[in-house]
Amino acid sequence: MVNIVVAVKHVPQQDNVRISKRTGKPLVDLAEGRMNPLGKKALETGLRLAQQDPNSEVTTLSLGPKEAEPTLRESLAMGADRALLVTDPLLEGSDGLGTAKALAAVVKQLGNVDIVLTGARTSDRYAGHVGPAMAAILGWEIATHGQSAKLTDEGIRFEKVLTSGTVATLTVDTPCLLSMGTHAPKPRHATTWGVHAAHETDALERWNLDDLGLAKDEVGPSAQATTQRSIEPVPEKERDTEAFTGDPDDVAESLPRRLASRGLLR
Amino acid sequence: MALEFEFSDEHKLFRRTLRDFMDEEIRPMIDNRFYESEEFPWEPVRAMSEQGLFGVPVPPEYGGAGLGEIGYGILLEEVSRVDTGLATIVGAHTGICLAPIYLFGTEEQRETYLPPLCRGENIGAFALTEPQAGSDAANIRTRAERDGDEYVINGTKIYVSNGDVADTIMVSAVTDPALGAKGGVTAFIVDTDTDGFHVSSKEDKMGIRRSTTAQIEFEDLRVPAENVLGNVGEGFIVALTALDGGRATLAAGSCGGAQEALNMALEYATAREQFGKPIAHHQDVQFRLAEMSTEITTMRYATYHCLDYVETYYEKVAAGEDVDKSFREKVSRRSAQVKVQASEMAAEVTEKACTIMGARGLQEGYNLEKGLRDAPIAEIYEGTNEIQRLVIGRELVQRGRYEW
Repeated sequence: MVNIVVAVKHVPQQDNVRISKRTGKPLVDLAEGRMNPLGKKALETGLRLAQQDPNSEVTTLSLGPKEAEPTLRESLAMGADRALLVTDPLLEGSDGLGTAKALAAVVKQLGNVDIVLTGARTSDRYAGHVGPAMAAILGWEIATHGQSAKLTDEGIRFEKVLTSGTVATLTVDTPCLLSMGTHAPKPRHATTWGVHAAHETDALERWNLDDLGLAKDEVGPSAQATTQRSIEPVPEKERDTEAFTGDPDDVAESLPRRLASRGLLR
Repeated sequence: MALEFEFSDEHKLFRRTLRDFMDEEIRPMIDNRFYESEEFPWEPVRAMSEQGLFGVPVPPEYGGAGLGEIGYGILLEEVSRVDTGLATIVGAHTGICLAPIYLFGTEEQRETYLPPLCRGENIGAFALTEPQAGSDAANIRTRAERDGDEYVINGTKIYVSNGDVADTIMVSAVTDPALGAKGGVTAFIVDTDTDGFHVSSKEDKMGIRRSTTAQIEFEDLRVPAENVLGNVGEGFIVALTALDGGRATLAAGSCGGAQEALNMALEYATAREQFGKPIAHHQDVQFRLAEMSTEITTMRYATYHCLDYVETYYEKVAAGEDVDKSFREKVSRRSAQVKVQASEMAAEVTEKACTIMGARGLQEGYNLEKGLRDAPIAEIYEGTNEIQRLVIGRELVQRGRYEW
């Protein structure tokens, strides 16, 4: 029996964050939100792991307002066995550390969890520190930015694509936290049957701060470890296209030199 | 908001996952293969049935998805965006085979027939039209004669969508020639693996070529009496009740096809430059695009509002409750109205898209040309628009005043 928890965040539909001219803060529209794309890949990975062992259970977990419900229902529609939404006004305004504390507390409360899966980062914050912070709080092994995970007798076989393009294979002992990156497999489509079942009135479990066993001052704005100074749009990268004309052989021969002179080859 | 009109979270998630599924999995399969040969497209149909698209309105206890008539409208709208032929396959299967079995079937009929149909393991069809009985449906001659515990069916049905591949067909046949349409027609559930069932020919059509259309024959085909759907003599009630809902969902399909045409025209108009700027910035083109978008929006409101009524209507019929006559008439009238309007709107929008795209609109390989050939069918099937006008007009004149 493998007990898998997948943390998924409900994020705005658009990746482009708009910033309020009035407050200088990002405008977050969760009414038309979606499941964080890498979180969805983490869920797909969790569902595939569960297929390896018929006794396993996949629980999805999200911290967020009531507007986050569609993401958890979608996770059920895709095949999760349980979905748990943690909503509490005191959790609002938590930074990555506060979020990690709350999520880790849920994992502890659930008990007997073998694997926690997360997306390597969220599409709205892009910080990528909630997963690692959770692993640190839980004191578990961690492997990040995976493309796949499989159950083996030795532990979890975890593959990740390195920046060089090569694939590294790690073996991770449970309990562990695994974060999935862009190379993880494409998430399945929820079936029509799943969509309906996920909307049964009692399909979601709802928790608040009291269920986590955390003190009120451990989370929320007062417990922030990071301060956001400002949010500014990043100027777009400059792109340039240059066509080399002439005899193809000559052009090919001169290519390394030309690239090197522009600092593109070393 | 005083007049709340929004899709439920369930229907929103259904539309979102369905759209992704259709665009990512089915659209790439829409090539010329099936279109040229007019063969039944098993590959996309299998994928769609595994996705749960062949039993959308039927409750889960019979193997369906339980998404009701609004869910079924969303299904046809989204499938039509990708291909009208595939929408026709799902529509003939669901709206006029699966739905009447659910609405009028005995518990035993529902339990036997619905689960494999909902899983898409069995394909459904509906056979009403005959060579001499099109719009004049009351003139059907396919005969079902009682012989002990069985009925013996003889006759010919034409223009049967899915007719060549169907496992289960809803057949209207005459049980009492003396009574005719008023009590002499009965609906039967026919298994096509029964002796005496033949597919005699397949049509070669201009449009919706991914949907197959067959002529079928019954030659001393024996069905057990328990395969009568509804009551003996009430075959037209079964057929017309199914068509009342089917029409409104067809309207949703037309909205989907029109959106596809608009998006194609919009993409082209933004990319194509003439007189130094994209043609989308020329007022004539922009006005046309605005008209297309406006027509689709108003039609979608009317269609889904009507489907909300159809859903209530069907819930009552399925539960065996009495339906108020004026309510039934209202549903029937509105579904006829949205069917007429949406099918003509879609044809118009597709033509406007063609005008914007110029020669490109007629060129093979740009899907608009296919849209132009696919659009007219919605004005013809499930009761021609002329018959719809006749019914709407007759009721209006009888009533003597406009009724909403």
